[in-house]
Amino acid sequence: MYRLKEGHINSQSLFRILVILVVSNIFLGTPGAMVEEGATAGWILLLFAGAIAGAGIFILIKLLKKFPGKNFIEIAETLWGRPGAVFTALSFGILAVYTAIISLREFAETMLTTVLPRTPISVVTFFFVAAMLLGAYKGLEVIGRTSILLLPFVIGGIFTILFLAGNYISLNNLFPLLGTGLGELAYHAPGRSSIFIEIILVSLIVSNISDIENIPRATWKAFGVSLTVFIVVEIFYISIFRVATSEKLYVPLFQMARIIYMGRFIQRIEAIFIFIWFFTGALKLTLALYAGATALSRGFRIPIYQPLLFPLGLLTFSLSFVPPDIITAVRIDMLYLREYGAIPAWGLPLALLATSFIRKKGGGRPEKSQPD
Amino acid sequence: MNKNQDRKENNKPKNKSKILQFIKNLFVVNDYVFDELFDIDRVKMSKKSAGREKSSAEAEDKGFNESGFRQPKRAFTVAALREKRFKEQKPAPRKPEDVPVSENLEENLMKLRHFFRLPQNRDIVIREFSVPLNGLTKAAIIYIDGAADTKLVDGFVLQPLMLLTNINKEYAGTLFETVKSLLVPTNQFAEANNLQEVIEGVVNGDTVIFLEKSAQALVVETKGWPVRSVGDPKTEKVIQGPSDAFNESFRQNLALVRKRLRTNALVTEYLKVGWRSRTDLALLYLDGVANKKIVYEMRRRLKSIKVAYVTDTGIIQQLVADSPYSLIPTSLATERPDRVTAFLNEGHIAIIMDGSPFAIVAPITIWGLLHSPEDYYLNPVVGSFTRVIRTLSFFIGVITPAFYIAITNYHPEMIPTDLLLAIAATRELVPFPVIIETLLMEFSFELIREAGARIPSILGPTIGIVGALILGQAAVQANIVSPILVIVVAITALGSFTIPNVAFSFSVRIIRFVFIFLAAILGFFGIAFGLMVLAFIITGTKSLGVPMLAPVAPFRPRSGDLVLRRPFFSFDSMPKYVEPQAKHMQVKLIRKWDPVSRNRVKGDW
Amino acid sequence: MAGLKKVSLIKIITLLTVTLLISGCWDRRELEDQAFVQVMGIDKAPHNQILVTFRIAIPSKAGLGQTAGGGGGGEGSVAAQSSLLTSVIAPTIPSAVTLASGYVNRDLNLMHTKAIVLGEPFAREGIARLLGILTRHRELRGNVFMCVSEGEAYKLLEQNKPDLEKSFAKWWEGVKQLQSSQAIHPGSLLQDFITNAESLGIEGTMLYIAVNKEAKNQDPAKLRVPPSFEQAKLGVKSGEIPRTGGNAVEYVGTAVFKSDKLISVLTLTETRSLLMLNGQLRRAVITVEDPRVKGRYTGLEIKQGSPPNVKVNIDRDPVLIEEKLSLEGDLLALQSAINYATDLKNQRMLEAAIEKDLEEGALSVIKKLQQSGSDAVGYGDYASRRILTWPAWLDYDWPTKFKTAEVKVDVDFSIRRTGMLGKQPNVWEPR
Repeated sequence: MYRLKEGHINSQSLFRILVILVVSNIFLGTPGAMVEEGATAGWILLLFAGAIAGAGIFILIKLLKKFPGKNFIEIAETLWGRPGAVFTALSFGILAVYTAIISLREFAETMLTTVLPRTPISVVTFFFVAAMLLGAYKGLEVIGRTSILLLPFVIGGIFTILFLAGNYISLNNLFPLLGTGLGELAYHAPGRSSIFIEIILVSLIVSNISDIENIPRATWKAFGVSLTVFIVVEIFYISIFRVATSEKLYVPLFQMARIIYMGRFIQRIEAIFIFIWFFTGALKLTLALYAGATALSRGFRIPIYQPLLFPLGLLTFSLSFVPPDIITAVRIDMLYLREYGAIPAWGLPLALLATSFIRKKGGGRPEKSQPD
Repeated sequence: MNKNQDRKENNKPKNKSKILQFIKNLFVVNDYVFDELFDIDRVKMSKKSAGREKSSAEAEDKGFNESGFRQPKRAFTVAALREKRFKEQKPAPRKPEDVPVSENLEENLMKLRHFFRLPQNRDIVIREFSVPLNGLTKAAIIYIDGAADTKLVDGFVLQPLMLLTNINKEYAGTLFETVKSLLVPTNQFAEANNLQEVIEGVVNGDTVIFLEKSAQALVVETKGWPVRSVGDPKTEKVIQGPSDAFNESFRQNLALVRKRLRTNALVTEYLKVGWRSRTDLALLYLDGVANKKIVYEMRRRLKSIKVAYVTDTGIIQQLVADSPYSLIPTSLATERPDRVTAFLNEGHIAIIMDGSPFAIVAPITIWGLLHSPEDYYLNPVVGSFTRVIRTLSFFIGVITPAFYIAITNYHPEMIPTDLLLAIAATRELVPFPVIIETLLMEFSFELIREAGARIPSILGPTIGIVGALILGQAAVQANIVSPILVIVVAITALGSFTIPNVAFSFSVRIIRFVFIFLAAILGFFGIAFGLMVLAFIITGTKSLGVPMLAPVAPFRPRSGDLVLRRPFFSFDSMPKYVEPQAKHMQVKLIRKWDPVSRNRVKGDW
Repeated sequence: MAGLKKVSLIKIITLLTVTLLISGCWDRRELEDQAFVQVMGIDKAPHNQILVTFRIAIPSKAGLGQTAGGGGGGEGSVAAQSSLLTSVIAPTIPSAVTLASGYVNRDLNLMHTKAIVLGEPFAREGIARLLGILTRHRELRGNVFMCVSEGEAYKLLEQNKPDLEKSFAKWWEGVKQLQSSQAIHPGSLLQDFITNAESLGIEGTMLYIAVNKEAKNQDPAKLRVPPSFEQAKLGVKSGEIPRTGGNAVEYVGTAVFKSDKLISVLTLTETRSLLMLNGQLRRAVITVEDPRVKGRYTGLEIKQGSPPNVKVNIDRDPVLIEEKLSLEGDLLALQSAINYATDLKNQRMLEAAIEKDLEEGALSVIKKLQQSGSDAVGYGDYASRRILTWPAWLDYDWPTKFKTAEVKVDVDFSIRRTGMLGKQPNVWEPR
């Protein structure tokens, strides 16, 4: 298939991209949702969710190892033929664009609620979309390098917030230890495991990665790091705010930033954290849009993905205004995307792997990869 | 007069042309020259009417001549005479490449006079003399007075040919061979077979010797262009370190580089750019160290430059840049030979041009733009400290006014309450909103800076003091700006001054204004957006294929030389982002005499 | 032709963008167009409304910065003169802000609110309807200082005239800071109060401030000494400190809440004991009667040695709470000739006396809390360690269990340093 030569990233970029993708969920409603379902054991719920997601990733990695050097769409094409490839491309694309739409809405709403109350949401959304289109247009190389550059700031910012707000921690708040009970936790875990579905992005960009043999390691590392960050943030959150308050607060990380008070000077500095907010949000959106465009272009054999960017961006922009209020938007995210989104996200690799075993395909040498 | 007859149809008032004709008669000069001055009876030829005449032959049939005038068919009219003389004036010169050096000296000289527009062109000197060989052979030299060193011409060309032919009794074949190999003791020469080569030699400052009955001419090296002596660097001064700098002389610049890299692997490829200026350009690299692909790419780009005239390496920078509109410079212009040689040692390439005291180094990364050579010459802690300050000052120079606007207008909760009330108190008296006063102050500072660049150096410092202090102070007292803004703008200016690279500091100034607007619209959100877009743009810029932000993104491992600087003795492997061919810059263990170092460096050294 | 299209496309886009942005920077508010509220007071008002009091800073009169004029001189404090006090009756706080902007000439900005003072009648009735807006509002944040005032809040705010400070912001910061250096109040921020009030294991507390009516009195001879001073117990609430002169508002003591209702007020000593039990004691000065010489008092500066060790045994009924405190202190004031500094036997005696004193104080506070039924110490948190799941904890109903719990407090006190002097000055007969 004729494809315009695209930029390559190495596994370190991959690691950072994946971490930013998953960690961006912290900035939105995830910690609160955890507490809602697991009370004081929100972090244990995360562990369970992580376990299920880990299983899903394991299946995905196994699939990728079986077809080294091929990305998801190509694997689907090998196993299921052309209709398979189109189906996979469409589901990937829809998933990606859906994520983009909801994330865009949520990030914009967060900005409005916290720092820019009087600005119309279209302006804020417009800026996000502008950054998103620019990044996605420039390609994966640029996104990867920007992630390498910005990830230390994002993680450092999160840990700074935790550190500075650590005054207020009392570990007693984590008891009763098991929260709503192991049974309840296990029941909610599969739905919550979809926090990590962004990792399946890795399967889409395999052909752009220069050192293929490092992909599993980078993916597991990203998974581990983001899981750790999630759990640490969750623990801090519950121990600062206690269960009753924490399940009600709107944007957890921001609330933690708001209560920072170290003497007369270091207080009310939450506005600084807008920077890491925006970086994370813009990178996630860029990657979502890029994933959607790439998936669709690979599935439908379009040589370049750039022409798809503007229409998809416009679609994202307009559809992000569909939910009439923030509550509906969050519910769409938490319910439909996160609970039912796990099905195609983990289900597809599983189905493909099963097919590959049945039809005994797979193996082979990877394509020659270009140096970075 | 005949002209009036021609114009009868045109209803030109008769008295006008009569007066002019009278004036003309006062000056009895060539008619056609005068007519061209006064444009009396020309009809403005529009494109349409020109297009009507499909070919000159057709036009001639109708009585129009080449310049578009309807002509009567009489050959002796003044106008006809004018045309005839115009045509015979000077025949279009043939290309000098097609004209071979002929054996007839006079013919050569006549053609050369034609090509060089002698006798109007007084700089070109043709000196005819005779060489007492084979009887008395007529000879001539041609050179440019001022371009050729007349001492060399007199002493090493004329003197041996005219006076010293009988010292050497040997003979080497033809007269030309004798002259070339025995009689003209200059260090370089070339043989010219056609007049193009002769012309090139002459305009380059060489002397060309013609001999009667020789179908070749001898081009000998007598270049003596006026040059400045090696001086101080004007823009990149260091406290501890060498202070010699490039100047406009090509040879001296190359010599300064060669002085520091005394190796046979240093290659200087000569190119010429500009078809009218034919400026010398040298491409320097260390063969065996530099990446061949980069050299090839740069050579390809330089060879494809087809302009008439290149003034300075700045133009070359733009012509070979990866993205000429990019605000971040993609090649480094430096005055210091030590910087150039340091870069060459790491596998970069350098371009030196005649007439420009700035050499270009490519490819570079953004870290190279923020480095100053002083960081290397002082110890690593000091070097790292100054580098950290410089990197911070880059951000300060870009973001500070935007931060001020964003904080006061959008996020007043960040300021401690007492400070907030103090600022509010001072702002009550100021009529402008924060953005306007920021723009006013920034604009005034830009004015001061530009003015300071043009002022003669005697007044320079005065203007600085006058502008900055008094303007700021007076503005505060007049309640046009608030006092804290003066501090903000001053810190910003200082921040942008600490950037060592001039082009980069200009970009910083421009980017700063963009950030001010973004902050004015959306506060911190706008600044975050600007930073994100800036990050995307910077990481996407490439300099000769090397990403600007390497080795932070995408290569690893670090070279130890970015913001913090590791000690010199740990730089043993080459920085990888240029992918040089050589692997090592140093031995693993340099300080052999230090037991601590011996312990620290593992492996066998 | 293509070039023409591209040019006009760029123009159109630029024009659109510029139009969009010129139409207004929506959130841009100049500093001098806003009125910054320093303190807010909330009282009951008829028909279920609330009376909101704002103290708004007037920057030009603030005496800060070089171009401020006026201020100083005349009676009263600079801070009081450079601010505007106004009260509005409204249903909610945002509507109060709207009404206030009807006569205060600027937009009110609550971002710099340092403290919220609730009137006592309002607090006793229950402040549940207020807690939602306090968290939901963007401009109010978790580190607002929460106080309850004796009587009506607006009256108290009127009487608050700081003399040392030039601005109310600094005054309230000072109040906040005194919690750690003198342990005279619990230092509760909104964030702590709400999280505590919402949870079962602990109850919220606030600072109790009151006006000392004797403050205007300049004659020390007319001072009324409270009876608690008989045993050197500084058992005073706000408004009862025997003193003359200074700002009339006093801020010692705690107001203890049971979920959202104010139920009891603790004195200075009781507050100190509460902080001690909580593990939040940073530094305090205690006074104990000299164990060997009656009528003489020793003063020590104490601080927490290690965090308190609490064991809650929920298997029995009533619940058994055992708390072990470990405190240490430096000798400050010795009023008798007894050598407590270098004589270790005397030190042990003094330590024992102090431990007894502290234990008694702690138990009395706990008893008072148990009577009112609010666990302000936070024993419930420790109890929750023993319970495995959240629904079980909700069913456990800790507040009822706390009322009938048996509490044992054991204080271990050690004197560490003795100040700059060893033995007492030798001016008494050795006794």
